[in-house]
Amino acid sequence: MSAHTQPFQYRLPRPVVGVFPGAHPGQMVGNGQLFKRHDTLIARPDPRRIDLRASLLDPFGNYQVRVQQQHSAVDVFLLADLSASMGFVGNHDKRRVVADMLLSIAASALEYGDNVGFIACNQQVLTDCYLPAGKHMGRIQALAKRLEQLASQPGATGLLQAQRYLPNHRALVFLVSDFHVPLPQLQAVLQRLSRHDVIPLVLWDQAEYSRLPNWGLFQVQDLETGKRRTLWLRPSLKRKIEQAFAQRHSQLQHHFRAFGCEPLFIENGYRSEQLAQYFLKRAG
Amino acid sequence: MNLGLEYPWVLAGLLLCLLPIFRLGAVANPYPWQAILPPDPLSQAISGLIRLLGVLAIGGLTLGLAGAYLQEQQVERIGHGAHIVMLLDRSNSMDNTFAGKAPDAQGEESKANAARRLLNQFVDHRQHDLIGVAEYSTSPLFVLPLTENKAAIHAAIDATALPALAYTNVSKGLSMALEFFDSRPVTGSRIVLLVSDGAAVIDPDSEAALRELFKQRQVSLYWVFLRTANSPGLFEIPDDPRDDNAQAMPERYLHLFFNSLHIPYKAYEAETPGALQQAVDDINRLENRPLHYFERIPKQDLSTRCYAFAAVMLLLLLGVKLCEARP
Repeated sequence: MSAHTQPFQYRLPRPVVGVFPGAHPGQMVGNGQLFKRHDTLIARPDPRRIDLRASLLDPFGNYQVRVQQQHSAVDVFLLADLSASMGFVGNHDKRRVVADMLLSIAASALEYGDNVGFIACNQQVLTDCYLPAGKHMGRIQALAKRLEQLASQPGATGLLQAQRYLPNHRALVFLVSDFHVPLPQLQAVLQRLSRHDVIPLVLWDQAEYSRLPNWGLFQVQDLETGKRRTLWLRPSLKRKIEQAFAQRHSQLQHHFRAFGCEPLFIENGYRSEQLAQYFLKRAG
Repeated sequence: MNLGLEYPWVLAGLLLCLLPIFRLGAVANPYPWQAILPPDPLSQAISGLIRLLGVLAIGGLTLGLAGAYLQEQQVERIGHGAHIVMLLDRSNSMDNTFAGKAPDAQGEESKANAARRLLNQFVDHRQHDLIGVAEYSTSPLFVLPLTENKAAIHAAIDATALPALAYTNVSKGLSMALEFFDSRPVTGSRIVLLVSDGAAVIDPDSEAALRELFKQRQVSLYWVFLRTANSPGLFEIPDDPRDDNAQAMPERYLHLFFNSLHIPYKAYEAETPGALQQAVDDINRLENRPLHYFERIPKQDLSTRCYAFAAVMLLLLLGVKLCEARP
C-alpha cells in the first residue's frame, strides 16, 4: 500500500440507518456501549440486560431492561465521473488519482468493516466497472489497476443514472469528478443523490490554470468535444483564466453547500490526509 | 488584369487552402474544459490571422506551381508623336565617308555609321512613336513593321552595320515604306524618313503609283540627303542645260518629283554629320501631333512573385511556430 492509498478515518454527520452492526453510531438499538433508554422485558426480552435498580424504582413493578445503541455499518460508495475530461494528465493523471482514491477509500471502509462499492460513469454508467457494495479488496485492487488504463469516453450524463445503482438506504457516497459540467446538470445530479451523504471531491489540476506558460501561442483541445481553440497567452489572460477558476471554485462551493455538502478540492494529487482533515473539520 | 495559367489543373491545389481553416498546425494541448476559459478577442484575432497566413501561403504556392502570368495587354494611350517609317539606303556608297572614301583613318565615320548613330539618338527621343524600318537597295527590304518596341528598332537600325548591298532603287523602297501605313488608323503624323546618299530615276509608271499612294496615305516626307563631297546637290541647277535631265541629276529630279506631290515635304542636304543632326532635330520639333495608340505590355510571369509572397507568408508562419508556448 503506497503512501497515497493510506486509510483515513471518516464519520457521518447523522446516525446511520443500518441493520448490520458496524462502527458508526446508528439508530438501531441492540448490543452497544451507549445507553439509550429503559424498556420493559416484554418489549425487549433480553434478561441479560435487566436493570435491577430501575426495576425496583418502577412504580408499575415491571422489569426494566437497558437498551443500548447499536453501532451500524454503512455502505460506502465511490461514484466516479470517468468522462473524457478526466483523462487529463497535468501534474497528476486524474484517472490514477481516482484509482488511488478508490484504494484508499476501500482500505478505510474495510477497516471500519463497512461495505465498499464503486460506480463509474461517462455517457452512461459503466457496468463493467461497477462494483456492488462488498468487502472484497482483491476485486477492488484489480479494478483500480484497470481504471488507470481505461480509455475515456466523453459525456457525464451517466451521473444522473447512478442513483439506480446505489442502495435505497442512506449511504456514504464519495462523488469524484472535475465538475466541468454546466451547473444545472450538477444540480440535477445532486438532487438525485440527496438521499445519501454525499462528499463531493473536486478533482482539479494546477496545470489547468496556474501552470500555463506566461507568453506565447497555445492551442488547447477540449478533451470532451475535441474542439480546438488558440490562445495568445500573456500574463493578463493568464490572470483572467485563474480568476475564472477561482470564480468556478466559489460557484461550486455555493452549489454544494446549497445541497448540504461541503466540497473538497483536490488539486495536487490524492493524499489521504486531506480527506482525514476534511472529516475532522466536518465533525468539529 | 488578365490572369493566365500555364497549368490550370494545378489550381485544384487551391482546395488545400481549406486546410489551415480547419487545422492550425499548432500542437494541440489537451484541456479538460474549454468553456471555462474566458473569451479573448485578441486570441481570436491572432488565430484568424494565422489561418489567413496559412491560406495565403498555400494559395501563393499553388498559383506559383500553376505558373500564373499576366497575359499580354494593350493599354490605350494618348501621346504626342508620329508613325515614322525609316527608309534607309543600303547602297554601297553608304559605307563611304562624306568625303566619298572608304573610312580607314581614325575618327572618320562612314555615312551609314553617322546615320545609324543619329537615328538611334532620334529613336531615343521619340517616346511614343511607332517606328518601322525598311531598307532598299536593288529591291526593297522589309526590316521591321511599325512598332513601339525600342529595343527592336535599335536592333533594326544597328543591323545596317552589315556591309551594304548593291544599287539604289528608290521607287520600290518608297512604295514599300508607304505600305507600312496600310490598315493603320490615321492618328498622329505619318512620316517617311528617307535617308539616302543618292537617288535614281523613277520610271513614269511607278511615279504615278507613288503619287497616288502618297495622296492616299497622307504621309509627310523627310528626305535626309547625305551628300558626298563634290556630288551634285538637290538644289543645284547645272550650268549646262543639257545636263539638266533625270539621268544626269537624279537627286535634283527626285527632289522636284517630291515637291510636285503636294504633300508636306522637306529635304535636308547633309554634308557632315552635324547637318544630319539638324534634320533629325527638325523632325523632332515639328512632328508632335497628338497620337492615339495602344501600348503593348508583354506577358509577365507572376510565379516568381507568387513564390516570393508564399515565402514571406511561410516565414511569418515560422515565426508564429517559434512563438508557440510549451506547457
